[in-house]
Amino acid sequence: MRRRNRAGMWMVLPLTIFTLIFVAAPLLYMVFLSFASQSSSGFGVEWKFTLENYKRILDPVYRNTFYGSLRLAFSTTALNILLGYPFGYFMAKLSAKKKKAAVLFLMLPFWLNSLIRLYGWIILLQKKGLVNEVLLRLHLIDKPLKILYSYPAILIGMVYVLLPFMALSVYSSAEKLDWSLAEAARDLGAGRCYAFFTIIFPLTLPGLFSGIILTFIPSMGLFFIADILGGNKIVLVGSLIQEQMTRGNNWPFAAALAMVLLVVTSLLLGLYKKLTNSDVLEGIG
Amino acid sequence: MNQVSLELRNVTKRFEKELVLDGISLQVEKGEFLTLLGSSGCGKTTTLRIIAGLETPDQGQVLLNGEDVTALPPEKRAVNTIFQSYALFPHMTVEENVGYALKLRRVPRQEIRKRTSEMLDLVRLSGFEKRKPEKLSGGQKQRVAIARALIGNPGVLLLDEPLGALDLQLRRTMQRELKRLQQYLGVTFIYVTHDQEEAINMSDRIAVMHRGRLEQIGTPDEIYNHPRTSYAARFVGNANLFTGMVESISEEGAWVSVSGGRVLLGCPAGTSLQKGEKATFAVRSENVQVLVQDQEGCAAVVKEKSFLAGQLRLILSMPDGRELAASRFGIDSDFEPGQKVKWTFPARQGVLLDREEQNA
Repeated sequence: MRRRNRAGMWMVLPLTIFTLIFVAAPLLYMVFLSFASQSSSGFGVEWKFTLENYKRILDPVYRNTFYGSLRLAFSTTALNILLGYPFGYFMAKLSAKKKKAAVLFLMLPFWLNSLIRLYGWIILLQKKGLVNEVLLRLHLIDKPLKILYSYPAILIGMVYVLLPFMALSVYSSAEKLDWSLAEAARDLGAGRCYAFFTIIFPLTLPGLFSGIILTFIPSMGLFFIADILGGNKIVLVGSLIQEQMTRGNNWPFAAALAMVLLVVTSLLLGLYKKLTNSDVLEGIG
Repeated sequence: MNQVSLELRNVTKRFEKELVLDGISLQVEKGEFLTLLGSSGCGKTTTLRIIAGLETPDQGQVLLNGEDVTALPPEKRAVNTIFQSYALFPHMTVEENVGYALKLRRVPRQEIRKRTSEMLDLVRLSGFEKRKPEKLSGGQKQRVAIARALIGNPGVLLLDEPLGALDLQLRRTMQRELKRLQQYLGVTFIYVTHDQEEAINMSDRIAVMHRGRLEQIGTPDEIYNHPRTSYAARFVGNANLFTGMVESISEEGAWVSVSGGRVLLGCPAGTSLQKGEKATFAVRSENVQVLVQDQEGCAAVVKEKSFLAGQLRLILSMPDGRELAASRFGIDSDFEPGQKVKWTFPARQGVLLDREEQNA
């Protein structure tokens, strides 16, 4: 037994080393960095303990950036649930052949760089783009809408990039579902809706939950979508960090921002996990 | 005649282009235990699903207590089903599973608890209220499924091979238990199985199904002793089938020629036959008497000898190469493979089958 344990230890050693070097060390470096300050020359870091960076984040400008990012992340996730849940659910109800095709179509965009796909959206959303053309032709609007470089454009881009994650995780959950359970519910006297909300929905919650995690976390940090479709008008935490790292050359402040982002996201996830682990699942049943 | 609980009128169903049910008509009395018996793919489960409302027939009607329910969805029918896989809700406790039908009818909580515990008592599962289905054995799951289906007092209970996943001993116990429940509650049971023993043990009547059609419907005794079609004869009790020409008619019955000799079909089976006619008849293996060679009977050779479920079974080979099974209780036998023998059967034990079946 002991020998086997020792062998097991050797097996996980590479992984442990990898994690230490590429996850723990950089994270620790970030923590130290966030308490240092930008050197007065404008280049490099002055290693002297200070809370200045964190104090600066409390400044309304930066605080609002966080609020804005959270708002975008929440609305992205909400829209993804509304669109992605039915998407994944109905995909699971297709015939085996159509299912395969649907999964393929959902995966297809992943083969193309998401930056390039976002440029595609610029073409679609611009003043004389396809969306406006169609709306004009249908006489739904009199003059072209200014969608591009606005908040809705960012939201569209975010939902577009993250939707497959939601749809696929709901799908994987719904696909494993024993549909005779729904039949049993209806046999016992439940209408379609009642059967859905008491049986199907609770049993697909694991898929919905992993979908929420898979869309919420990235949507807190995806900055290039806001940059491309928002035309730099709307600043998100992600863009702010990138800005401070590159043009601002203020690594300590960028590190502090990243730490706060990390803590906020972890707290939300922790809260969410606590909620879903306890009574949410059973309360619905 | 008692009140009719369920009636099917000429129910027909196709999947894609395949005809699954071909004009099924039957009536079930209130409190009756009817078994749909047949091999897999004969349409028995589809019949059950049509009664439950989970499938719509292409033609025909389903009547419950004289009311046409063909167009009603499953939730509007006073029919409950016990599914083959039990279909217990995995995220609910035993109590919640059983109380589901009451909860959705907004029955007060207190009453749900009371009736749930009564129901669990009835299926002998008290004390399991708070368990999740995954923590139950197959037999216990089965009991939960029964309690869940019966709590709403359905007029008709449909059971789709409910004992298929259980081992033999448990199956026997559950057979008795189901029968006890059915008699106690007076609910009409429509029971689907491919197990003829189960069907004979439990049913008031058996409906033998084959290729989407009802072959024969009757009491276990009728089906077993007087099968009308070759399928029913073969499926229920593995009868030997013979086809032969009627040689002569006498007072005792009809003499029919078979490979290796001739046999007498007694009254009433033999009486309607005419000389020169072809007759198809069935003889159960336990009614075949094997005799030593110098006795009167048809000639055959012993091919195999085996011992199965308390019975000695001899396979005889007839001169035309066809086989014939004979069985009796006990393990001692003077016959050995290769031995030339004679065989016969009591004239009354030959069951004449429907004429339409003769070319089958």
